Amino acid sequence: MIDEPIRRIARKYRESPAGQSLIKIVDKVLNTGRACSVWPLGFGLACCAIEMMATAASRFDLDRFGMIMRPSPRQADLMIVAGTVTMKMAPVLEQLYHQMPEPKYVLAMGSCAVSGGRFYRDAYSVVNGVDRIVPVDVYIPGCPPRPEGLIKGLLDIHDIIRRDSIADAPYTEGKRPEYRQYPRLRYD
Amino acid sequence: MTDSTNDTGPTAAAGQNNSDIADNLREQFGEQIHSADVADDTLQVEAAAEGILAVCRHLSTEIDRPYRYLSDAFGVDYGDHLQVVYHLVRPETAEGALVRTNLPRDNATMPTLTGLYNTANWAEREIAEMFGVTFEGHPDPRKLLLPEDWQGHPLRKDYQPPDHPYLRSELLHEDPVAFLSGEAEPDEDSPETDLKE
Amino acid sequence: MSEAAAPLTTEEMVVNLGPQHPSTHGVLRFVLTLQGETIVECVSHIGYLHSSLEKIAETLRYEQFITNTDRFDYLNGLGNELCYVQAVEKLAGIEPPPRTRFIRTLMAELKRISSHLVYLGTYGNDVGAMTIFLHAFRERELLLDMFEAVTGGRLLYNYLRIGGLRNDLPTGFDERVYSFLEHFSSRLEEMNDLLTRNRIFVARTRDVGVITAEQALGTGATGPTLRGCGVPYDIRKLQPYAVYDQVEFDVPTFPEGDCLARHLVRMKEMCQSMRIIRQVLEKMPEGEIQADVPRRVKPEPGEVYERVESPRGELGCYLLSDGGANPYRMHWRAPSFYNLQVLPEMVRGGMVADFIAILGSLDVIVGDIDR
Repeated sequence: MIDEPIRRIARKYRESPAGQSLIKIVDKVLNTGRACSVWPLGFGLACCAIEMMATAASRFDLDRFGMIMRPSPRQADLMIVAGTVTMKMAPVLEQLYHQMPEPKYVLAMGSCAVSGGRFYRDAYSVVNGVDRIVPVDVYIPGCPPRPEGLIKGLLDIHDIIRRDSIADAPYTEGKRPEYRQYPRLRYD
Repeated sequence: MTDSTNDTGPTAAAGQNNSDIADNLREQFGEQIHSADVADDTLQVEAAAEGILAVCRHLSTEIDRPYRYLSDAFGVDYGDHLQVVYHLVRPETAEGALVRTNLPRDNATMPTLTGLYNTANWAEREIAEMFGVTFEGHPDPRKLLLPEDWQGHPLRKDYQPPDHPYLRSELLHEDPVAFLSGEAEPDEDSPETDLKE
Repeated sequence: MSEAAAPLTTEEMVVNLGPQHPSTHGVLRFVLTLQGETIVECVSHIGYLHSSLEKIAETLRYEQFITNTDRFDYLNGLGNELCYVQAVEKLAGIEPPPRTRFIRTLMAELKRISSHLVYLGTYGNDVGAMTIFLHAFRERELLLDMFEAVTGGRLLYNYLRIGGLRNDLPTGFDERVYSFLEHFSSRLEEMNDLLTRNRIFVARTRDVGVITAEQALGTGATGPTLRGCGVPYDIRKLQPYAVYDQVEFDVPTFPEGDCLARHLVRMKEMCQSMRIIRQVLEKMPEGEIQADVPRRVKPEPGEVYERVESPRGELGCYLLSDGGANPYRMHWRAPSFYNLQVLPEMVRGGMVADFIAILGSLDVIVGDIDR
C-alpha cells in the first residue's frame, strides 16, 4: 500500500554502493526503533500467563525492553500465546491474529502452545500446538518456561526485527525465519 | 432413637445420626430407595431416578441439621449404565452425603434439581454434555464447556474424539507422513499401550 | 415541522466482554445486557480452556497424574497435589509418615500466601491501583525462591508423591522461612495500608457486589466468597486433614458480603497462614518422608471423595478405582466453577465498572473452571 513506492525506491537505491550504505543506516535506525518498543498483546490463557505476569513485574522487568502489554490487538505487534489453546478458543485466536496490524510476530510460550504439551496424546479438545492456527516465529519450551526463558525468546524477536530491511518485501510475505531443526507438517 | 415413626420434623430425633436418617429414608420412600447406608461416617443413598427430587428435598429440609447445600454433582460411566452422583453437605460441620441414581445408557433422563439448589444449574449442564443425560425441567440446557457444535459425549467410555487437523497426534506414529495421508496401517501396539496396565 | 416530540426511548445494548480482555483472569466470556451503564443481565460462557483433564486421568496411572493435578488451579499447585495424593492414599490405605504431613501443610500454607499475593496484585490492577501489583509480585518472588529451593519449580512442582514426598527440605530452610515471615509481616501491613486504607479503593469495593449467605450457599460458593458473607465454612477447621488439627488458627469472616469483605478475608487469611507456618515449623518432627508404597499403586476397588481447602474454596477430588493402575473415574470439584456461578446475582443492577471489581474479588482461576 503506502510502503510499496518507498520499497521500490529503496530497492533502486540499493543497486549502487553509496545507496547500500544509506539503506543500511536507514534500516538500522528503523529496526532499532521497532525492536526497542515491541508492544505485546498479552494473550495469557493459563499457567504461563502467571509467569508472563511475573516477567513483567518487578524482578524481571519487561518495561526496560520497552514492552508494554496492550489489551487490544489493534495496538499490538507481538502476540505472546501463553497457555493452552483449545478447540473453542482456536477461532478467537485466529481472529485476534488477523486483527493485528502488520508487521506482526507470534511467540509460542510454554509446551501447550508449542506442541500441545501434556495434552498431545489424549486430549479431545486441545489444539496440538498453536502453529496449526497461526504462523509462529519463536517457540519457548517449558512448563512453564522460566522468566529468563521468556526474555530470551523476546530477544530472539528483536533479532528477527533487526534482520528486516526496508528494501525487501514486507515481513509476512514469505519471509519467515526457520528456527526449527526438523520440518513441521502444516495443514492449509 | 426413633425407628418406627414417620415424623421427620425438626422436633423428631434431636441428634439424628446418619444411620437414623438412613432408616427414615428407607421407611419413607420404600422402593424408591435402592440402598441407604453409612460408610466411613458418610451417608450414601442410592435412589431411583423419579424419586431423587423427593429424597433430596427430604435431606435438605426435613431432617435435623439438614444437608441443605449441594456441593458437587458429577456423573460416572459404569459401562452398562450411567450414574449421576450428588454430594450434599451440612454447612455447620461440612459433613457430606452422596446421593446417586443409576440411569440407562440410551435415553438417560431424570428430573433436575435446580429448583432445590442453584448449584445444580451448571453441574447438570456439564453432566448433560459429557454423558448425554437429559435433565427434565432444566432452565438452560445449553452446552457449558464444549463448543456448541460438538458431537458426542466425551466422558463416556466409548467416546471417539473427532478427526480434526488441530487434534491429530501424528508424531506418536512411526511414519507421521503416511499417517496423515491415510496410508499407514492401524498399528496394534501403539505407543499408548505401554502406559496402560 | 415535527409533531409533539416522541418520548425518549432507550434500548438495551448487548455487550460482549470477550475471551480476551485485559483483566488478567484468563479466558472467560460474558455477554452483558446493558441499560445505559447498568447491567440488566449477565450470561457467562466458559469452556475456553477446557482441557479434558478428567478423561486424561483415566489413561494415566495414579502416580503419573500428579503433574496434571498441579495445573488445575495453577496458583495452588501444592494444594491440588495434596488433595489428590490424600485421596489416593485413602483409597489405597497408605499412611504417610508424620514429617511428611507437616511438610505438606507447610507447603500448602506457603502456597496460600503466594496465591493471595497474586490476587492482591491483580485485583489492585483491575480496580486501577497499579503499584500494588509490583509490590505483591516482589514479595511473591521471595516465596518462589523458597519453593525452588525445595522442589525445583517456581510455579508448578510435581513434589508430592503417593505416601510421601519427592525430597526432604534442604538444610537451613527453617531459618529461611522465619526470616521471610519477619520480613513479610511488615510488608503485608504496608500493602494493606496501600489498599485498604485508600479511600478510592474502599469506595470502589464497599457495598459492591453484595450477596447474602443464602445466595452464596445456594449456588455452591465456598472459600472467601462464603466467608465474606459471614459463614465460617473452612474445611481445615471442620474436617481437618494433614496436621490442621494440631495447630491453632482462626477463620476470619466478615458479614457484609461485598467486595471489601472478601478482600479483608483474604488479607486476614494471610496473617493466619503465617501463624500456622510458625506452629508447623516448631512442631515438625524428624524422620523419614516416604512410606513404603509399591511402585505401581493399585488400590482396591472402591471410591473416595476427599476435600481440602484451597485459597479459592472447597476443593474436592472423587476417585473411583476398579483395582487397576489407572483411576476408573476422577472428578475434580473445582471451587472456581461454583464461585463463578454466583456472579450474575452479584452484578445485576450494578455498573460495568463494578463488574470488573466484582469479578476480581471472586478470584477465579479458569484452569479450575474449565478443567
